[in-house]
Amino acid sequence: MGIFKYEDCPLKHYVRLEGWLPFARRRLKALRANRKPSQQRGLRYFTFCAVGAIDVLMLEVAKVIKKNDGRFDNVVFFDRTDDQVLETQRRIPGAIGFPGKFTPIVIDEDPVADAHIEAEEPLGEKTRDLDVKAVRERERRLNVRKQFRLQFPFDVINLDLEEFLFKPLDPLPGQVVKAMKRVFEWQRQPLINARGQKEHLNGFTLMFTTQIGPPVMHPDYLQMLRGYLQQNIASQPNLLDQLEERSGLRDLDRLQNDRFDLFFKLSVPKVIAAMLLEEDWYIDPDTGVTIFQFDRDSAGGPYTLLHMVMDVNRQKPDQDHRAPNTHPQSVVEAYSKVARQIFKVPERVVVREELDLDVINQSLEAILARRRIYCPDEPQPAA
Amino acid sequence: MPKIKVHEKALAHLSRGLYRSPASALRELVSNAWDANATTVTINTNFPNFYQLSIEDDGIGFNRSDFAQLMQGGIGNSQKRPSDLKLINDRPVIGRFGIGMLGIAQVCGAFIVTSKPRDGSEGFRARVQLFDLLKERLDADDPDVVASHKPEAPEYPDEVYAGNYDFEEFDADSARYGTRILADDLHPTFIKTFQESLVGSKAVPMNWSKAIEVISSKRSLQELGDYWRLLWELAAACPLPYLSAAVLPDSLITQDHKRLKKYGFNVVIDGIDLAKPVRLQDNPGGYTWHLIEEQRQQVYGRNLVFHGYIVVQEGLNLRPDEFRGIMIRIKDVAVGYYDTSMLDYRINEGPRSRWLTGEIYVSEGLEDALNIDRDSFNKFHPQYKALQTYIHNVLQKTIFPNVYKKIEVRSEARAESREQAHTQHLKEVLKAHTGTTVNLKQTAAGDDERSVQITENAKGLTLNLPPQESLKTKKNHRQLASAIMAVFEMSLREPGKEKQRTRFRELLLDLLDKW
Repeated sequence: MGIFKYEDCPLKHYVRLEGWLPFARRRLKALRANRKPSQQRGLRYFTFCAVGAIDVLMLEVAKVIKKNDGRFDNVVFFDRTDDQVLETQRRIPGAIGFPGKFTPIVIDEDPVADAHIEAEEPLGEKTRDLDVKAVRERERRLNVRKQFRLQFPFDVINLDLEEFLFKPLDPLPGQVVKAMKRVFEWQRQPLINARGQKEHLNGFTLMFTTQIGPPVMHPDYLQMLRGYLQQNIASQPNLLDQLEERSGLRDLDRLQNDRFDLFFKLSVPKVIAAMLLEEDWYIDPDTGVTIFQFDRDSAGGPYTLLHMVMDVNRQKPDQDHRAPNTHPQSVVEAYSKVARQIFKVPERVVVREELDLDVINQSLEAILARRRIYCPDEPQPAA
Repeated sequence: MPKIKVHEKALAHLSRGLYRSPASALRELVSNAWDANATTVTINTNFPNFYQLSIEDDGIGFNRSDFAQLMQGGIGNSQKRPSDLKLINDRPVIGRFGIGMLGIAQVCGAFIVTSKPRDGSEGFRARVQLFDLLKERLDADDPDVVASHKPEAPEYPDEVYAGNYDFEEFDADSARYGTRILADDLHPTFIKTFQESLVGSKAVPMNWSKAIEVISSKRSLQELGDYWRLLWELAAACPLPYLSAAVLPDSLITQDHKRLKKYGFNVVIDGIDLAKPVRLQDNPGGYTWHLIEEQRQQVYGRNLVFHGYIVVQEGLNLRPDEFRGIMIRIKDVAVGYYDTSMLDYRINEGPRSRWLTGEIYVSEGLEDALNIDRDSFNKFHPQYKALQTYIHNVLQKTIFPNVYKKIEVRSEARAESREQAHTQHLKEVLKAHTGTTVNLKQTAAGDDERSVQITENAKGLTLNLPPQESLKTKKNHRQLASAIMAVFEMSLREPGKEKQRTRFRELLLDLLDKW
């Protein structure tokens, strides 16, 4: 049915339908609540949708994302190559596409561009560098970063990276972690509406995908992950009981060595929660973190994917209105509640045998039919 | 006699700066697509970021060896298509200059060409990398750019290179038929200019007809910025149909619209389906037009065949400014844009020249008069001169005389209507002050012409005004003078000088208030 790798994977589509879609719907509802008709706006969505753009089209079919005058101009995406950006835009016309490698571009230290964004003044064009490819590439990369930053904030951020969160040779805390922190920082920027008014987001929805692993993780990362778990257990000793209930273990070293997958699943959401906290956000304790897990075969061997979905709220009062290095009591309590929830509520393991394939295929067919409207000359899969 | 050789460096220089705007470079690629029997050309600018620019057609494509041949000496080697080549839907062959593909080099340093031929021959994907700092390197005889020199003429290089190319992996199954050029090393200046052009600019409606409405409300495209300009210029330059045959008065373009529709050729940019940005409707002053039926001339033994139209929007400047003047199309493709000088028309027509627009379709000839940029003409070329003479004749003997006649008629009508309005106003002012009906009459010539006579009866007051011709003042002032005399006479009907003075002041001020 699908023409791009994994786009019609029923396991993945189950996650889209049962994880991403309800969370995005809820975000839209929250966005619409208590707004006058004249203040309504569309849901702003950032994604690594890949060329197939299934997630975007699913949200459009479900009327969560709406086009403006035929354009998906509330959708922003990153693709690695210019070819891919072009192909993606073919399927979601009018979406705002950025080419390049997301993490290095986002974490690139660029005080000039940042200062420019603050000051809203044009960059000077004069440079001592000659007009050669390397200089142009650098300028373009800075511009991608600047323009991307100007797109913030988003109501839904879907970091569907499908790769390792911690790369073996990547120094602590890792490029992806640094990029995520930067993204959470940029989420604090106000949205400027058509009338020039500023709107600060009260919350957003975060979707994050990672592989469990790598099999041989650098000791620094292991230490960091263990540190998060230790901190939680130290502040809430009863978490050990919950850990024992889930794994039969009370010892973190044994958990790390014998049940690495669980060790990873418990600690990574903590990493995200801690990053959010540092950037003046927190995970909504009422909905907590929903984790989906499934296995996938590949040429390089099978691997396990984790899809995490969560609602994120802005701390109130915000960091500009409270003492440094403190958080509101409600946020501290929320953080503890989320920590307990992560220990207590197991992930939803998605297996093909338990899926209602009719429902999944019907949904995929509707999405692909929509895609054919935008891209009628879609190359067909080889027979 | 020794032959004259043109230095190859000249062509290499040209490969980096031939066209005056991105739209002109794209126009050349669109023309290539036309000749490749494409039905749709899709252009993507990566709006609103402009990090890439792609142009893709669904034409016949070309194969790997054709591409290699083009890269290894075919660029700039004028290879007009054979005259017996048949294009679909009776399209005329535009013919390539050969440098079109490199035209995109004006805005980028590298691009990827992908083509999947419909004839089943081998498709390809190639990355073309253009040399940086080419001009300096050519001047410095950089050996990577200038190959060894000829022993017999050491001042001439054997070959000159503008860049290099590399074939990349090509997935024929997932590729579409036709050709795609994707410029991905767009120059930061281009990116920045286009990004900045969107700041404070209106969003372009996906419906081109609505976009034209927005454009037509602006004095100049500059008010809308470079992105709008790109769309407009591309729409104006490409061999596209009009929005409809009714966009100009009196079926002026019905035949051309039908012909262009028949070619079945579409250009879609960022999802916007373009059509010629021509629309003149609902001007209160109306239009003056001239249809140029097909003209056939022999100029130095060569045929020059053209037709077209010229329209004047009476009394109202055309919007945007870029729409005024005369556009010349060769094989339906524009050469440059609207020429506001009207092919160097020498008579100063004042504001009237800002009301005029027109298109000349040249179906045969004039190609040799084209300058290399295909945006302008050699103005001393005999065929250009012949066309210029014809157009100037039409302007001087038909168009502008008609325009002047209409101006005269409009002026007379306006003067008459103004006079009626003034008379009515005077009556109302007098009635408001006397509380009785007031009739105004012109005294017959020969009677006492210089004074105003007032008579009164049961029906009201009657004022006999002097004939306007008898008032020795400027023509424009006569009616006012007569009205002032009337209010003066009316004020004299008051008892006592003080009351007369007061009444006169009130009447005069009321009269002038809405004059």
